[in-house]
Amino acid sequence: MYKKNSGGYWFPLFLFFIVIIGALTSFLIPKKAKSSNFTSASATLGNSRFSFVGGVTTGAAGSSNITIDTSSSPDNDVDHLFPKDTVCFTNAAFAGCSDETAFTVVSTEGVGLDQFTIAPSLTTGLSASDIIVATASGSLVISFTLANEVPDGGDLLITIPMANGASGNDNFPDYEATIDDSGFDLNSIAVGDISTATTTSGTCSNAHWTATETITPGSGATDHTIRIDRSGSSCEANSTVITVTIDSDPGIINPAPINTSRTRGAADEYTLNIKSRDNADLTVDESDVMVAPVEAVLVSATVDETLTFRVCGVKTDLSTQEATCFSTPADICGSATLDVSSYAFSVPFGTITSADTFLDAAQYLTVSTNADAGYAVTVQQTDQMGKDGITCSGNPTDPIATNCIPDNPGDGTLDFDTSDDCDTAATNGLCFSADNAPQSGTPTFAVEHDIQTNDCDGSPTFCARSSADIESSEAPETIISTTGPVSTSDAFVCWRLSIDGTQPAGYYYNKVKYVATPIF
Amino acid sequence: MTRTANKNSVLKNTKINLLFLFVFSLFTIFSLFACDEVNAQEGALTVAPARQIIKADPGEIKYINVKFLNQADTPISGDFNVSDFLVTDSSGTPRFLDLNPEFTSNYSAASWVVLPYTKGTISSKSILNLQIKINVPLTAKPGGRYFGVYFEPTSSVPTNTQSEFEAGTGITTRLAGLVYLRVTGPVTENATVKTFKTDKFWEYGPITVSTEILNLGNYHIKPEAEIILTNMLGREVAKVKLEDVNIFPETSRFFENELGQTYMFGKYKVTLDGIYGEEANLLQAQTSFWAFPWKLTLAVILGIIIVILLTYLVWKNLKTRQQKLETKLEKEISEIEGLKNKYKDTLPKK
Repeated sequence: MYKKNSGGYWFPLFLFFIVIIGALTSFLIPKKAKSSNFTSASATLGNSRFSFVGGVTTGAAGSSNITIDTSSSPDNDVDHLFPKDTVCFTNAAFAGCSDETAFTVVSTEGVGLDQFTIAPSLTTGLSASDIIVATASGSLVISFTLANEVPDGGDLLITIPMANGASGNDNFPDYEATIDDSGFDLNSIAVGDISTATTTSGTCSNAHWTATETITPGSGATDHTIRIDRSGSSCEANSTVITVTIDSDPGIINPAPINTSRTRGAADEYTLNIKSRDNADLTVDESDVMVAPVEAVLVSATVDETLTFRVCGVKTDLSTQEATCFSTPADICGSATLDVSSYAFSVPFGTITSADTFLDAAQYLTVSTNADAGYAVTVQQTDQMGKDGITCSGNPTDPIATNCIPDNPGDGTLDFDTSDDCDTAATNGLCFSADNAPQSGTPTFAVEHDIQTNDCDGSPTFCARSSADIESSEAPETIISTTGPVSTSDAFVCWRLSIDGTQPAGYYYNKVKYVATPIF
Repeated sequence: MTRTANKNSVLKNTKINLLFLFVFSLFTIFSLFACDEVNAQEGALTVAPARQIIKADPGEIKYINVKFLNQADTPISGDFNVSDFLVTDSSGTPRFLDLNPEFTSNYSAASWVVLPYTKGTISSKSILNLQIKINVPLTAKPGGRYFGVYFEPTSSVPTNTQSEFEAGTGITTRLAGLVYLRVTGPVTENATVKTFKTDKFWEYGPITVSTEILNLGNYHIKPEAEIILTNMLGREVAKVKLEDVNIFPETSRFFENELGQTYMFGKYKVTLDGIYGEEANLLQAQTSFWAFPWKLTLAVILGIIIVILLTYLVWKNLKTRQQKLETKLEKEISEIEGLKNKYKDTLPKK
């Protein structure tokens, strides 16, 4: 009897729909990540100086001499006031400045003492209940690396400590008896004073962080919060670094030192809290970071010597990877094009499909200094390129046994301190050379691609060296230098890689460090 | 017919099962290939001061500032740290001990230094002022201590795109300001001119003088010296100042200077005269050389000889011709006298 096999395809269909529903559920409703810490979280004060808050003993009308109260205030002497500081004399309610004037400190009596002079002179005399305030304000930059994704509809929440019971947004510095109770004044910052920047190796559009942050000044025992909403897409945690900057105009106001026993010169450490949250305001990642205002020290100085250093990537067509870095030359190290585009912080040789074939890349270095002895830029590598970053002990030459791409030996003597020709593709490994760059301040080169040095041929095409290897305790070698000040000195560093056909498959990498210092 | 119907049904079920498996596989594949976006932390960084010299007493707590300026359009995050350095070459290149573990230093101070933080972010177009505390131990010996305060932007190796064979190099940079700390108290000042030489003979000037000054003290020195060139008569003919550079303790610096005119004749004396250190200790050395442009002189002498010879030849030639003329004249006069005597009777009487 024919029996209709009606259940034959219903069951798989049923399973199919169950799976679909289950998958849709899991994908449409993001799993709540187990809350974890951000990685590399930090907060940096642009001005790490305490604000000054002291009491008044005397300050007569018409006088420019002020004597401060030597007890019961965060500052009981003039140690923390310096010439050219701006002071405001206010009342106990912090209601504006006397004479509606900001006075400039002309001089102080000295360490441990209690008098200072101002300009202009006081129009109105001060009372013993008045308060002397010198505000220290500045930027606050908070940077952190996501451990988990911030979903669309989620947000970042930054909590900044506020002094308990203080008016935390009245543009005057605050203080309390203990660090736990003290905190910062928001100084009436507005949304235009806050910016968010994102760098990522995944997908996280910076434009989807709101530009109109929600700033909530604290009150009572509640601290200030700044909330930055995410709308438009999620922010993937793939080496994603988020930087939130409160700029220095007007900047947040640092607290005065706590007014109980504390060690002069020691920083008061304040804790900021950073959270990323989902669209139900549940915490995804969280970290506490510390900032530490400290007494400033007057350091007299003449014109500073400066040293400026920049590295730029180079595209395969020899143009700059970063905007406004250098003008495109006709060739770099003798090549009209390159095989690999580099960046300021990486040279990704990428997928290598051919053995015994050179891959050329380049980077652009520029240095300026007014130091009269000039500068030096040295180069070192952590190690040879190892598979998945393994250690390559010594200077390995066998790619199979060691899973390392060796340094290129050139014609036999190429090393970190000896130049040799790196122009035979069948000779494998990594080498580097250098070339002149567009600017006029040409440095002294340790090796140049077309200049004979050490064991290179008479008219070399790629006279090169290898990077000094930290793992093998090889001392870093100078690649470019000058012996005097230079306004713009630049060079191209050319990297060349060739691999052996027997090199085991895998991902090989190392790290190279450029160190720029003035000459001693 | 039953078999056919069953067969069709089984085939249909198989197709549906396969479809189910395919779709299920699609939904279970959720690993993403990373999109290798550029980690764009570029931009010029400046450190100031690039070098600074400070003094501190044993037991003192000293504060200094090192500023880092970010000229990029984006903030830069990274690490702040401090490392001792040495100078081991004759060019004055600092070598940080954390990058050169084989080195040891008698002039270290990094362990005395406290940074307010070791990780931070420098805002775009902003200066970050790092206030550094130095706790000089009470037992610190007088002399020099040398360390660098540096910033290293955060970086990573290029992202692996999961291909079979791939390579990449991560680039890190370190920008350092150097600090030379003088622990007060009596220091050992001892420098010597290890080399002061020039070639013994010069055909033409200017001459090249090579100097090597070795600092054997425990604090760096910056010699102020001149190289003076005097001739046989003791007259100064040229002078050049030695370059103002610091010489690290237990290290040499080389100098190469040119002085003198193109044409010099005779024996010359070259003197190094200078001072170094806080006590203005003397630094002196001397050498000498002969200078004589022999090729040029030889050419001139030859030229003179040639001129003399030519003159002599011309004069002699003229003299010979003159003598010949005189001889011929005498002969003709003699002939005329002879003729006169022969025909004197036939000549008309006056």
